[in-house]
Amino acid sequence: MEINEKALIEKAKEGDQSALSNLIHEHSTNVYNTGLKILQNKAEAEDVLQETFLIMIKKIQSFEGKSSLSTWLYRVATNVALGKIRENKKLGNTLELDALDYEPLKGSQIKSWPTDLEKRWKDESIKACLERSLAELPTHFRLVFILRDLEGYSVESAAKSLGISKSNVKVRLMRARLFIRDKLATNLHCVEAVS
Amino acid sequence: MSKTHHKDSDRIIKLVHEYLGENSDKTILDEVADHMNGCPDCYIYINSVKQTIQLMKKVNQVKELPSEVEFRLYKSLKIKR
Ligand SMILES: [Zn+2]
Repeated sequence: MEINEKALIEKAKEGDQSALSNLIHEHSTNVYNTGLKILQNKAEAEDVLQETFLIMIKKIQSFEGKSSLSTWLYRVATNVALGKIRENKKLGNTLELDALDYEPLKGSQIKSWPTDLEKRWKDESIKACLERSLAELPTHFRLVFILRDLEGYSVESAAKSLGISKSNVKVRLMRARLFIRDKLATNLHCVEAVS
Repeated sequence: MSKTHHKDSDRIIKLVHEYLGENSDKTILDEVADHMNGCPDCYIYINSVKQTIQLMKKVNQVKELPSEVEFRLYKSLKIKR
């Protein structure tokens, strides 16, 4: 943690509003983005933003600085966002969760894969395809993908956060990756026609 | 099954899914690299999955906080910006 931020936290604990304001300003973009990634919805991400900082204001007195404020806020924001999904019952029941009914492509079915793809992420059609495929994934599959591959959670902490087993995380992650990859492959016309 | 399908392919693919994004040890990385060199199917499979994740990261990279969202945040917290 920067010395500057430590000082701001101390001032905020003493009730200094402008210190609090500065802390919020410093971290608001990250908190908003955490909500946005998990919920894929701007209005809900805004709720996460407001609730996370409400919690921060309430708890700043007891903030000991064992982790950095950004790590702490990230954890709070993630929990708030996952809580929203549970609230909305978007997680559904276990049976529903396993319903990703499709057969992934095999390596042999992909005839070529563009070498310059990483530079093309701004292409509207690629962007739209990726966003659509993420949105089409059943919630639990999407969350596993977001937590593991976008947010860098370990299998264990993803399992803990979602309340599912580690082997479930692994299975869902693999299927989610392939689902998105296959949508992309089809979009890029990389799929070999089945003869 | 294509003629290049190795009996080892399924195991390698499972290994890759497990270790992608984790700190994998060198022996595993070497084993995967070795296999990929001799197996075009796995090469394209693994490469395409890796690139899909990279692209998704880029598409989801940090988006600016809209000023009206920031305005409403401070208002809801009753704090002056
Ligand atoms: Zn292989």
